[in-house]
Order: sequence, then C-alpha cells, then structure tokens
Amino acid sequence: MSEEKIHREDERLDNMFRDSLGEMRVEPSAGVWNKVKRSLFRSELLRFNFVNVRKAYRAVIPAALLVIGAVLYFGLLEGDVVSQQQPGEKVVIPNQVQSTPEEPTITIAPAVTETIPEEFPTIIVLPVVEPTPERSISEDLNTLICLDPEINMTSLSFPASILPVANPVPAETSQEPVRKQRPQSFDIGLNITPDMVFYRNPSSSFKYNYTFDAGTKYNIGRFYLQSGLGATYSTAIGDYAISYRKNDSIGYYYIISSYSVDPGEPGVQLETKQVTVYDSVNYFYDYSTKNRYLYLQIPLNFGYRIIDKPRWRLSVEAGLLYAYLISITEPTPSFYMSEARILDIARRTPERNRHTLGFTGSISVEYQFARNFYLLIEPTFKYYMQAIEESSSIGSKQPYSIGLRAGIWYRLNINPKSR
Amino acid sequence: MPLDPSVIEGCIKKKRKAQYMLYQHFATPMLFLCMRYCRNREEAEDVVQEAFIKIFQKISTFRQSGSLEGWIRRIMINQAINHLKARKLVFLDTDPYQLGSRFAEEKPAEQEQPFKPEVLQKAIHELPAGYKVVFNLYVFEGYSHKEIADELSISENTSKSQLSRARSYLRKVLSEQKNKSNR
Repeated sequence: MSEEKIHREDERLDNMFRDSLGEMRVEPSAGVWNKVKRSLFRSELLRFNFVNVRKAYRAVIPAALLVIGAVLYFGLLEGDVVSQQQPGEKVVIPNQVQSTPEEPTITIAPAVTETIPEEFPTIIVLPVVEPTPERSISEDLNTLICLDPEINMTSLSFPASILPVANPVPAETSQEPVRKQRPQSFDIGLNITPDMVFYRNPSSSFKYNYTFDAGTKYNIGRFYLQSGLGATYSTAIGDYAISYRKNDSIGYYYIISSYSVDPGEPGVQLETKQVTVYDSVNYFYDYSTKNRYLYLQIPLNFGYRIIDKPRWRLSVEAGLLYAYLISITEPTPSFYMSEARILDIARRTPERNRHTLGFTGSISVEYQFARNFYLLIEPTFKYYMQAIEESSSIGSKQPYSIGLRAGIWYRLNINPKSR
Repeated sequence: MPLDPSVIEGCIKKKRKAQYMLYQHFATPMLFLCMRYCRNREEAEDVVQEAFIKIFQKISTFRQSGSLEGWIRRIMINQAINHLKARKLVFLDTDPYQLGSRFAEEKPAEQEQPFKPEVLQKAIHELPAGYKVVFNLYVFEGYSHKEIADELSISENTSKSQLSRARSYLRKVLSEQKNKSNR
C-alpha cells in the first residue's frame, strides 16, 4: 500500500471516530455536582478572608454573634433553675407536711416535681433510722427524707396526727422552681488605647491612633455588656502635589568673546564664554502636612469571662464600634519659593468619612488589686466595615487596627454575691 | 444554547447558582471527553469533578475575549492527563499486538460499513493508555505531534508511533467486530 493511500486510510479512520464521537454527551451522575459544591465550600472556607465577605454580611456577623451570645446567656440562665430533687440529697421539709381534718391523710411534697399520691393516706416512706433518746422518728421525718432509692428504706404506718404540722403551706407553693440569682454588678472605668491602623496599601503602611474612653460594664454572672464614650485622636499625613513655574536654566552655549592671532602659532585663537539659557519650567513638589482628626466613639460589646478567679479574670469580647468624626485639623500647605509662580495645589489625600462602623474583638485580662478596683489590659482587634477615607486611593480599602487597651475600673456591686 | 455572559460574572463572584449553571452547561460534553481518556465512568467523573473545582477557582483568570468552551476543554484535558500521569502513564515503545505491518496491508475495516458509536467508544477504551491519549489529542482535539510531545513530555517521534499503533489497534478491533457481526 502506498504511503499516500495509507495516509488517506488514516484520515478516513480519524474522521470516522471524530464524526461519531465528537459531539457525544454523557449525563454525569447527581453526586458529581454535590462533590464539586462540597469541595468549593471547603476551599472557600480555607481561603476565607473577611474582605471577601459581602458588606451586608459583614454587618450581619457581629449582630449574629450578639444574638448567639444572648441566646447562650438566656439558655444558661434557664439552666440555673435549681431542681430540689437531687439523687441522695437530703431535703428539709419542715412546712410541707399537711393533714386535712376530715381524713387523716398525709400529703408530702418531697420534691419539686413529685408528690406522694393521695392513695397512700397514711403511709410514709422513711429511712431506717434507729430512734435514739435524743432523736425521735417524728423529728427525723421533720428533718430528713432521703430520696435515694439505693438507701435501704422501709414503710411505716402510723396515724397522721403524730406528725407535727407547722405553718402549713399550699402544695403549689412548694412546686415553684427556685431561680438562683446571678451575681450582678456595674463597672465604670477609664482607659487609654494606643493602636496601629493598617491601611493595607503599599503607600501607607500603618499609623498610630490614641483613644481615651470612659467605659461602663454591666455584669450578669460571667456575661457582660460593655459600652461607653471615647475620643480617638488620629494623625495622618496630608499629601499635596504643588505645581509651580519658575525660570530655570535649560542648557548653555558658548559664544566667542574675543580672538587673538599669535605670529608664532598657526591659525586664530578664540576666547569663548559660556552662556546659560533660561526658560520658564514647570515643576512638581510633594508637600506633606500633619493632619489631625478627632473621633467620638461609642462601642457596644458583648463579653464572656472564660476564667473568673477572685484575683483575676480572662474574658473574650466582641461587638460593634461606631465612630463619628467631630474635628478635622488639616493645615493649609504653605509653599514659598523665590521667583516661582504656583500653578496648582492638588490634594492627594482623600477626604475622611464622617461616619465609620467597625467590628471589634478582644481578649481582656482583669486584675483585681483592691476590693472594688481592678486593672484592665486588653489586646484589641478592630476591623472597619467601611473605608475611613472616601476616595478610592490611599486607605480606601477597609483598614484594620491592632491595639492595647489599658485602664483602671471600679466595681459597684448590685448583688452582694458579686465579687 | 449559548451561555449567558452574566453566568461568568456570577462565577467570578463565586455565586453558587451561577457556578451550577456553568456546570450544567458543560458537564455533559466534558464528561464524555474525559471518558475517552479514562478507564471507566467513575474515573471520568472524578476527573470532571476536580477540573470543575479548578475552573471555578481560576475563572477570574479567564479572558472573556477567548472561547470559554475551549478554556474549559483545555483544563479538562490537562486534568485527565494529570490523572493518567498519576497512574504512571506508559508509552509503549514496542508493539505488543504485533499489528504494525499486517494491518497496513489489509483492506481497511471501516471502509465497508459505519460502526455504531458505542462500538467505537469501546474500541478507544480498549487502547493502552499511551495510545489512547495520543489518539484522543490528535484526532479529537486537533493537536499537532509537536503539541502532543510538549504536553506529554515525549518526543515527536514517540507521538507519531503511538498514533500509528493506536490506529492499527483500532483497525484490528473494528475488523474483529465486523467479522463477528457478519457471522
């Protein structure tokens, strides 16, 4: 078979496969998309960055944290309802023995949820206690009923009249759940927070802010709600581009000022003079000012004390921070150069936003150094949900800051159980 | 049906609905493409799954002036080849089936009657992995031998010989199939 024929046959074979199978499709099984979806979710979770979260969700996250905290708090509060019936626990029931005049029945409400049924009017279950000269059965009944079935118990029958009835109370009173009261307190304190604001922009690495605040904390058990009022002093570089025009040298040339002829030398000797050429030239000058800003801050944080020792406490805290720009001090660029004419002063620093909302998270350590005073050290992280500055240039991305809050606090006890 | 351009935008923004629409649009042709390279459907589905994850992760790098299908196809093929390489893809230098010269002299099997797509698909499946990859890249994807050589890190001559042997093998299989159906 010639080479050309072989080539033709090869092409025919290729075309047959291409035509028959080129456009074929196969439906994948349903599990494939589910696996893709799961893998994408995992990968997105691993590459999670707060910046990628949509603005709407950024506000939702702290709110959700607060709600979860509140739910957790109230859930725990419900859990504090103390059941009076604990296995093996001794229950004192001085007022819970009743009898009715018509029928010699004894009704005992030994626990919150259980009462002895009325079908056993004269039977009461008592632990086997040997009567002693100092202690009678009736005394034991009055003071001790053991509910633990593991303890050896016996049944005694005797008329109800032998039992003392002192200040009878309605049965439903005894069934009211007893709520353990949480220690409550109210704290006030003064703090200072130096923090570094990172703009995540190559042209401005970070800047320092200083915040002075008066804070309040309302503590319920291990949880607390914190707010207050603060003033943040912030500095930033004001960046301006000044364009001006002035006469400047743009080059030089030589002119012949004189010539001389030396009889001993061939030719003419020329004396030259350099002449500088001037023209008006446009220049740019980078001018910086030190701008000062003052913000009013109102935080609202929800905290939980992980460790609550008599001397020191460790807490985690998260919440929102609202800041309002109350004062702007931006010096006007003052530029002077002799024989120069200023053409334009362009401000390159963007205007600051009046309102800023941020998310804060912190870990705080409290050291109780006196009865009602304690020191607070609190590393804080703050993430601004919107840009501090309006323009899309410097600092317009959502910055974040890391700071250290330190202060002195005073505790006003509302509830004596509170430390 | 052409894909709505907003789907790509949605995929760039990592919107799950847009990702699902893109998946639905391309999953069926791409699964068949992968099945030509893989041993079975399950393996092909694994390749499709991995490739789609890559597609969604890299879709922001896709230049919209080009063909999306071409871009996706390329990722699928690369993924399939990587999958084969992970399984130690071997390019046989010898002719284990002793086919070369014999089939060159025979009358081509496909000349007389067309084969059903299933038969052709099965014939491709039966090819050794090396033959199969080169045949698929050359015939279905239109790669040149140089491109195949670059893609698979082999020489152009190896690519040519693999293709030639793949064709010979396919002729043999189809010829046997024809004889079987004539009987």
